[in-house]
Amino acid sequence: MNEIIAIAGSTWKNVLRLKVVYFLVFCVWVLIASALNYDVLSLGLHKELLVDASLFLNTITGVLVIISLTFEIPKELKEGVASTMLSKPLGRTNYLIGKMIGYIVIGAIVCALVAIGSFLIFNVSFSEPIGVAMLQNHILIILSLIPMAAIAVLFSIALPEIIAPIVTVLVIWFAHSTSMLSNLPIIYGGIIPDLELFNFKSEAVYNNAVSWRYVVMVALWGICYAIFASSLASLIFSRKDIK
Amino acid sequence: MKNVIHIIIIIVSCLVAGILGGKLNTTQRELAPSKEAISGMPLGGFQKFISDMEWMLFVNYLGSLNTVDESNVDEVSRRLERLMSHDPNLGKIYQEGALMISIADPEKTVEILTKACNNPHLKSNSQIPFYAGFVMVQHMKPPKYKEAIPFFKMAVDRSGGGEGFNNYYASYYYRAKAKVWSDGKFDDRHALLHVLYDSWLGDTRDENYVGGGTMGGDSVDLKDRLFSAIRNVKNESEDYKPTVDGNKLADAVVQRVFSDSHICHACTAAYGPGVEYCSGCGTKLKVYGVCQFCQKAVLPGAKFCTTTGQKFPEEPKK
Amino acid sequence: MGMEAVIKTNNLSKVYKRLFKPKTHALDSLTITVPKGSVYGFLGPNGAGKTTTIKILMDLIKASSGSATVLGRPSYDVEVKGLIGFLPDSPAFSPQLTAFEFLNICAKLLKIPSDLRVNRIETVLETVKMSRHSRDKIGSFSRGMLQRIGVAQAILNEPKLLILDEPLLGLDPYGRQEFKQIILGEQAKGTSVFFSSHILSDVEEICDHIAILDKGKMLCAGRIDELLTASGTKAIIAPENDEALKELVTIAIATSRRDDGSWVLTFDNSNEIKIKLEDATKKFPQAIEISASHEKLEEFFFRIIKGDGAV
Repeated sequence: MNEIIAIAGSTWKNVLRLKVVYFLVFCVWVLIASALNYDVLSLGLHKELLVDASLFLNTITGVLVIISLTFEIPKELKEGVASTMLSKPLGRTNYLIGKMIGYIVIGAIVCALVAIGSFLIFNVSFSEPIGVAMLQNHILIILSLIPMAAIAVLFSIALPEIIAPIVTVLVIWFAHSTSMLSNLPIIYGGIIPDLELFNFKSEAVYNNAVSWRYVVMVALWGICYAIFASSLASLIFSRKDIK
Repeated sequence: MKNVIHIIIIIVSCLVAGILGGKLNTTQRELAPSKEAISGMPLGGFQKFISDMEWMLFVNYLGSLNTVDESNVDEVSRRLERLMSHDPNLGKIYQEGALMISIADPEKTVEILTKACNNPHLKSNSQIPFYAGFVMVQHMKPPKYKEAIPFFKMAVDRSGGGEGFNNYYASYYYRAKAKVWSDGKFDDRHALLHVLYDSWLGDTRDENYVGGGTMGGDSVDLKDRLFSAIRNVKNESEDYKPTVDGNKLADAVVQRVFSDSHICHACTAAYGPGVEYCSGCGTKLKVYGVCQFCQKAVLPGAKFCTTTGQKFPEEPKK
Repeated sequence: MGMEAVIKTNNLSKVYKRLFKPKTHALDSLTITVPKGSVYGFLGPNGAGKTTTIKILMDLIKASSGSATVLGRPSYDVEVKGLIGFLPDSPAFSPQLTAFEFLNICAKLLKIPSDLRVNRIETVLETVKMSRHSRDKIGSFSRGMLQRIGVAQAILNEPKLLILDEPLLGLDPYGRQEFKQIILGEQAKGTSVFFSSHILSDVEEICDHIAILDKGKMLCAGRIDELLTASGTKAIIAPENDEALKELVTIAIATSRRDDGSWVLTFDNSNEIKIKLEDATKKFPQAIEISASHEKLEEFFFRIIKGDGAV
């Protein structure tokens, strides 16, 4: 466990020191606040637009963090950073889990910053507290990083460096639109990811909160799916030659 | 051995995730039923955001039009439908968007509004069913009164009476009912009085009773509506002459509904205690008095006060 | 043999199979034994299979066949890595971390007790002369500084075996000298050292054993002093003496031309050759200078590899 934390710690320290991360968060805040300018064009729906924009941009931010993981692992493998780490008494599975947890933490911190910023903008602009549904949805976005990070790890191990980010983006994208496969028990949700489970953006805009029990259960699903995807990644990685 | 453990973990986690995912999928459909109505287009879960963008583009597009007519109604409808497919819960699509095409294409408007009426998320929105009924009776040729009735009723039910819309919606409801009942055989005033009276009669027996008395709170009640309808039937105006049938019905209603009220049965003018002849038409009136204990009105010939229960020692004072 | 081995490989092979391309034999039945306490130089031209061997030993690459043991345990044993120090051929570390933070992470991975970590990190930073830069980000380091940090992380756990892939690469002469001292210091502490290098003079200076590899196959291995004394006779032919050169070049086992135009020919020690050399010397007394060959490792290497190209 200590090894996993060490790898995760090195990962998030390495990324969270990049100034570009904070620039990205700042840009997202500006974009969220810009929704206030659309009161006329949206026929008075600018409050809803602000909530929706915050959720949309936070999701994009989370996905960007996860996509950077698909660049990071092949880069570490290629440049030899992974060789140095794996020459220590550290199992390959632990290395992957450490990387995955590291990026989940990075994503959680960045998404939390975006969420806090959007709460403040909302509060200052409309002089009213944020809705529970909005809070829940930002939490769901952060929780969705768990299965997404596992998917990114799987593809960054299983696929060539150039293809992995593209495939990861496509899978994350389509995993939000696979409800027509819901008739496939076990396979749907077990093998094919159902990231739409984390998506209540429309309900959040109309302030329809979901039960906290659902939030906990969907987090559990995310963890189960992450175990599945990362175990598969680990099985592939255990047979892989590291250059 | 290590690989075997790996494979066992993969299978177990896949099974657990699959079962849990299936259950959560069902739960999600219950929590967010509108997801069913959202198009299956792979939009990465951003249907709402895309619909917001499209809404603004739609508003912008409408701004570029002088009017919505046959030349552009198809394009406006297409944009509306696309908006609905991404976010069927956006009330403004129906309340403002759909009405834009109500003159050029009332059928399409009603189709869109009907979908909105069936959307559980919009179940408390009373304007949408009202608009549907309104378009049916105002813009469709010929007007579809019969089809509009359930929409007006839905509007009255949803308004709950607190917003002041109830009275308005109920008026349309009764007028539509009157049109259906009369089928061109009676004038509108007569027909309206008929359906109101019918509703009054059915107050205790008809589950479909609609009226201010029970649904609109204290602001409007069926009696007020009836009273107004009787006056309309009886009073002559430039474009209306009272009919014999109409007067008969009005008299019957007054006898039945307003027998204990202090209004002239002939012209519906109100009168006070001790008045013997109507100030409006000169008709002989049922004289009533007041209880000497509580000063409330009492009917002619009453032996007890209906408010205090006191027995009158003598004939009430005229 | 009876000696204790820290590394032992048995018919170790690695074949790379690629779609639509012929198989590549990166390593072909390699069998080596690295004795405990030795400084073992692993030599060979580019593509010989040195790095492949080292990575198999570190379980970074899976062997196609054969076996390898490190410190008596299979090379895929994760725990054995706690007893090894490893420096990859081009060390790269997380650029946003400081040298101290990086070494701290390595110390955690090596399960060095937390109360000893700081002291141990400071010691190795001092050893590689990087104490001044302990709080600097690795991303700002030069190639040589990175190499020093690589060495620092390799010796952090006071390993029983150091496996170093091209450790002298990127170091200036001063740094190379320091590094050689570090290796010898580690050897003095009882650490066995196995390293690959292109800088043959340095290998000759510090190694007591070498193995030469080419195209995945072992060409020779053994104690360096034994291998180098087995050399032959050397003849220097003065410039513009083509006749003498023609006579001897056919029996030489290695030839090289100097900048001044003279030729250096190396011969084996057979009697037949000795007779021919004596005849040639008599025939061209001014042109040929015969001496006993004190073969340098570099010359030995070229002779073994059978070529003059860069190593």
